[in-house]
Amino acid sequence: MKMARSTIVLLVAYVLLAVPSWGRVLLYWTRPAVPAREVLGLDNLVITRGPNESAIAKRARQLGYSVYLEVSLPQASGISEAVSAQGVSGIILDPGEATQVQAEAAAAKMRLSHPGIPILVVDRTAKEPQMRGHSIVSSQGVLEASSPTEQPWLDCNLALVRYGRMLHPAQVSLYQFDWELPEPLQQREGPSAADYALAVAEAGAFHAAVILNLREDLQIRLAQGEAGALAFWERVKPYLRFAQKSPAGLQPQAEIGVVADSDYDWFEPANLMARHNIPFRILSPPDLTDGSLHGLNLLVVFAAPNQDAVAAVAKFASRGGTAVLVSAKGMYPWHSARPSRSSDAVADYAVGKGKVIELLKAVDDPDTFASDIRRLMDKSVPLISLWNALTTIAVPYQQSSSGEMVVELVNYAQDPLPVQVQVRGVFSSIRYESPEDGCCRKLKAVPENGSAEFVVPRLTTAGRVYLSARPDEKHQGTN
Amino acid sequence: MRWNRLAVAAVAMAGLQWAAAANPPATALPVHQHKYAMGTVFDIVAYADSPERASAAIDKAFQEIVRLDQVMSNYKPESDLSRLNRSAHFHVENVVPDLYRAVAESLPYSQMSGGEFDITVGPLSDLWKTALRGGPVPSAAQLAKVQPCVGYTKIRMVPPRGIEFLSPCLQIDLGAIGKGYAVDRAVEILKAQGIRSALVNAGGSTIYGMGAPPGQAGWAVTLRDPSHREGAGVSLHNNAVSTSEQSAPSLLEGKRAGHIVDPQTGLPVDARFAVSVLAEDATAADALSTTLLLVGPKKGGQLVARTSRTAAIWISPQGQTITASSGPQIYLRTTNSFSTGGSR
Repeated sequence: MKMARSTIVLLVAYVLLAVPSWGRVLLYWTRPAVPAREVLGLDNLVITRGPNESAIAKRARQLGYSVYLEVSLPQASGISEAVSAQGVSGIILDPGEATQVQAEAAAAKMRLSHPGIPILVVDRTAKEPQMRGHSIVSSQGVLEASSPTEQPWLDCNLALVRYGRMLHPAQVSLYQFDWELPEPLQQREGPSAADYALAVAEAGAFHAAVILNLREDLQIRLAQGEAGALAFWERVKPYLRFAQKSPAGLQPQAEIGVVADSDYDWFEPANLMARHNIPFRILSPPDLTDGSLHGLNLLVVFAAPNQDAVAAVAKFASRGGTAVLVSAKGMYPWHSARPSRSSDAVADYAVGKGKVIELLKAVDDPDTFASDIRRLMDKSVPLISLWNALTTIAVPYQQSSSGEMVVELVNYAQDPLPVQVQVRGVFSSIRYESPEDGCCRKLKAVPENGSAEFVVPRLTTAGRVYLSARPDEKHQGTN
Repeated sequence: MRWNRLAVAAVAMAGLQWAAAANPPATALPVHQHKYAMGTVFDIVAYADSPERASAAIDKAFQEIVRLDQVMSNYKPESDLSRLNRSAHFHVENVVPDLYRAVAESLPYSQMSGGEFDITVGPLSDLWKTALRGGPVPSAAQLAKVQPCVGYTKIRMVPPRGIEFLSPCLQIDLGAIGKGYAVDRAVEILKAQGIRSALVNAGGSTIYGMGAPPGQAGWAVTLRDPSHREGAGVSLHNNAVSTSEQSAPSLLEGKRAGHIVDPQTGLPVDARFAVSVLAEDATAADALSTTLLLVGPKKGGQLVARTSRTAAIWISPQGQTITASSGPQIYLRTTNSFSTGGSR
């Protein structure tokens, strides 16, 4: 019994050490001159191995930054000296060509050799968050417009963040992307302040961490205190402050489970589910047990289920859930009954109070698939729904201690728009804050079919809604 | 008629020679901006003698698009169209010039298609939108109840600015023509700002190419191809292309629904092909693409033949293509195509 307790204590200590205490935005810094923290509006810099490594680390530490050292997988074994010499606050492991799973195994080894120092795995498969001008591409210097899509195309990293959370439950999802600058003018001028603001807003809304690249000329000009560079970065800083201000202890809410394996067939459908504002969490195939499905109404299974998983799916459906098996092959216990509907593409089986839908092929149209999932979800009272929000992603969270809900919003169009929102539940206080308008404006809600319906009057890039069942005396009215 | 590569090459060469004089200098850099409006993303690419000048012109064009969204939106309760839909029943309502013009420009397509294209289809579309969102498929009784609300002949135009609805429940929805109209107005703004080479693109579904990029005969546009193998394209040079396609069928529920509804049957049009139409302006291309989706290739080919400087292509998910033209060309990477009435 004593052994078990001490093991638990060690595990808790390990988790506490592994969970980074830093904010959600880090900057790569490559130049020896470093500006003050007040100039950048953040506390964390990332350095990579190279000739300037020691000089940057020393200067940054003098200025009070937390310095993280990024190393590749092959470099990981020989960093002990650098870690102690440079007093780094953490190590970021770049998986390179390795998979995230392999990188996590390497990180686990490193944690044993560097106890007390957070070892974080960065995901480099992230995309620059953006609303694409979705039909113009540059192909060998020729501008070309191509196919229409049903709705604006958003490059968003929510599916990747959810996958990261499943892979590294003890770590805030950490990602990095390269700026996409396909056109000559963009290449000349670099990312805009609005591009940085959106990247910061996205990471903040997803409660993830992002490492941003700054062009070297901007680093130099910021360090020199050049007025144009300072003015440029001042336009990003409200978003940094806003992202860092998100309350602690929030848990992402989900009512859909996506069972994903490593072959990534699930990725694009999950990506589109994020864009349809479907709150989901990702489960690994071994997680597909009866106990792990608590709170979910719908299950989408991309991984081939083993016998235990099939039993969990059957139990989930029998209690009233809907399970969708993608690329379903094989015999399952529910096949003992005739399907309620069957074609060469899909078969439905009634199982207890719920049902299992077998999609016999892979998903070849992720947008239509996500729309279907949204429709299935909307048959009961959904956790969250948005209107006039084709460019907006909303992520619901719940405060585990108080039960207060928080909805983080990102508008990839970055133009002010009113967004109509329904959140399941009854709330007596709904407040809205944004980087542009501050905290907090009280929103009026009307009860609608078991939900509270309200309008966020002006969502520009980022916004946060606090929903409380208790009347809030502190934040009455607008300020 | 089949369009072969030789014909395309010959036209392209001729176009290149012609375009060389009017093109922006080869050193000019394109300015590309996009903006969310009318439920989609508008792209504008423009060349000018300076990026600042191109950027300022694009800003003005976007302002015009946003202004037109406030006029023609049927989602915004305060829009001019929403006000008209609330107040013009058996009463002549004076409207802003753009709304009058957009409605007036839609009516010839309704007449030309025998009522298949109809901006009054909204009450039927609304019933099917509910089904698309997961609600029940509308019953025959529900459809019959709203059918009397539909019919373009129940719109009375009273020049210069008056519109009256001759039905107590008629509603106008400019979704099938509004983006094209906005693209054309944006092009006018760009021209007024001195821009001679630009592409205005409403979500990929309606695109106008003004002039040509430096060193090119026109703006290359790849067309929507549900088979992903035909490689159909057009080169735009002071003309427009628009594509219409019915919503994809549900993978999981097998319901028949869709956002394009046949005003005469009240049912979603059961067409799985994508239709792209090349026309002189974006308004015409937008209206014709919906019309040709509704009427199908046979009647559509005849409509194309009767309309000057127009071409159309229907592409099925299986890769079958049908083309028709009264002049301009649509080219294909493959030769799995055949023509219909009206081809030249």
